[in-house]
Amino acid sequence: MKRTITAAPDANGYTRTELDHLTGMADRLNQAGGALATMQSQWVLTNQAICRTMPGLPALPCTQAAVPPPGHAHLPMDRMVSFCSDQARACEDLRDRLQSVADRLTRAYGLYSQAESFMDRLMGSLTSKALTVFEPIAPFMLGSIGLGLGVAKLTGHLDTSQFQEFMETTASIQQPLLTAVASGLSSDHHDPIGGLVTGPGLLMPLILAHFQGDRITMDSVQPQGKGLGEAHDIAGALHNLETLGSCRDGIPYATVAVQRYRKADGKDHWLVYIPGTSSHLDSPIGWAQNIQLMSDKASVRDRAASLRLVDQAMCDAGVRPDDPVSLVGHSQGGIVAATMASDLSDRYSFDHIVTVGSPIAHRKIQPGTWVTSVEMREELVSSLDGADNPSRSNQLTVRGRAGGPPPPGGSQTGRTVTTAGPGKESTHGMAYQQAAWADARDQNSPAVRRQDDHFTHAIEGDLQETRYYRGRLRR
Amino acid sequence: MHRSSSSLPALGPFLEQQSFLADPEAAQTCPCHARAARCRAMLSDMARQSRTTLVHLSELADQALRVDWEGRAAEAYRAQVRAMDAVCQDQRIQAGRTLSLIDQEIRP
Repeated sequence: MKRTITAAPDANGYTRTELDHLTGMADRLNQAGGALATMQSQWVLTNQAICRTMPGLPALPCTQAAVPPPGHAHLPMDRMVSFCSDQARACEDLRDRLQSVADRLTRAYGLYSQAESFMDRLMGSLTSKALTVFEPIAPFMLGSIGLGLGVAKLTGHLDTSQFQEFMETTASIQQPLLTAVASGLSSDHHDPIGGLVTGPGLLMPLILAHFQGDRITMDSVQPQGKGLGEAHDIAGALHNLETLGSCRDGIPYATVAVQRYRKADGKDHWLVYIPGTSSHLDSPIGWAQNIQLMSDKASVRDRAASLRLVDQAMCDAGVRPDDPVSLVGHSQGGIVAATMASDLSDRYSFDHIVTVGSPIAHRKIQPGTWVTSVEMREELVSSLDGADNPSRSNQLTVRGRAGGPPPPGGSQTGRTVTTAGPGKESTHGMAYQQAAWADARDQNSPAVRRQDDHFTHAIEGDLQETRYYRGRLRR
Repeated sequence: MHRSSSSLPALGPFLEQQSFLADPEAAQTCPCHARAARCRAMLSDMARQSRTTLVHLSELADQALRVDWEGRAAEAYRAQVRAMDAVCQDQRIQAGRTLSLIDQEIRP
């Protein structure tokens, strides 16, 4: 099954004046479309009025004569009627064209992302109010729904495609719903989900020490094939990240890669790749570490084995405190990247971080660090923070949306992703995130271009080496 | 690409000429006159509104082309805007010709 992925960036990085100008332009285009719709109706009504006005015309004496008497004339009824029909059709055609032009502008600049956020906040507020009524039992209600879905999935009553359909249908309420439930249970109203997981996060080291160990062993490994190549932009970095995360070229699971680039001035710049969660029990980038990383307490987050692994890898590779570092991470890897950029900013100089499919809204990243995030609307993971990413001039979030199959003859906009099976699948995977970024890059709004240009500049230079660090947990 | 409305094709003599059907005495003596006059008036009004809308659309297209945007997607956007403007221009020309033909056929 093929799906079309389209993306819209946040309307970040524009001045108020620019936004007003662009939004005004899109509004005028939409209003003109509305005027054409009205005109189309009026032509149809005019057509009907002409037909009603001239019934029985052929029977009138003045029209029956072979030569019209003076002062009388033939009336081109057919031509009048077809003229009205043609005008109505022309209005419809122009309206469709206007709509398409307005949509292109809106999507490229993310003009209505603020309106969408407003709607999400409104939904969140309404959901929260509704849940207040059922507050004592809300967690049990949602827990039952979750349990029911889990049982249905395990017993084969709910296949992947149906589950994905459910996720896509509920996409717009996932984030506000999670926040509303967490707010009822947590005392941290700024980051309720973070507050909720802090307790379990504190217990994680004890639990991990018992089951899988909390001691990291890190080994330098080499890929059996080509491995990661030189990245020149965000798309290239995402391609490398996908290679790493899919364990291609014999790269083991839970492997972090560190690339060193040397600029013309001889200065080293670093690019660190952090893959997503691995389900292996001895993986330091495991499910349990997600809970620690989502905590609202830095002391809990910094204990996560995945973060410690990346820190250790960077030290071993030779990253110095003043060396500019860029991080690229998928899912938990993105959370690690954002957490390091916020919690370890006194030890490293983070230039640019790229996160894909990662909930990072509550990480307080230093103002000087550029942040580029890609999220897919239909996947739950990015919504787990319960909030939109912050808005600032050097932080951009691109939101992808998975649509239907491309139309025959190829899609005019959007990138195509082919699912593994005949039905829908989770859009959390790298293929979807890469497609969303690629479409955003195709639209090439100034904000997307600025982010990509900055990242390109951050890793400019010749690739000197790529080091691969495999991490394992031991007791 | 800005064009003033004065340089745009007119809708022919249809809107400007006094209709021969406006003779009130003739209208009273023949039932077809009144009806035909009403039809012509309806078309005339609609044609005026249509011209105003199409002129406005052309001006809008002009503004839309000046958006700060580069790259392939921007070129596709501008091509769409130009195509839309061309349809507007063509529509005004065609409407003018058809209305002139209608007027000629009505004339005795």
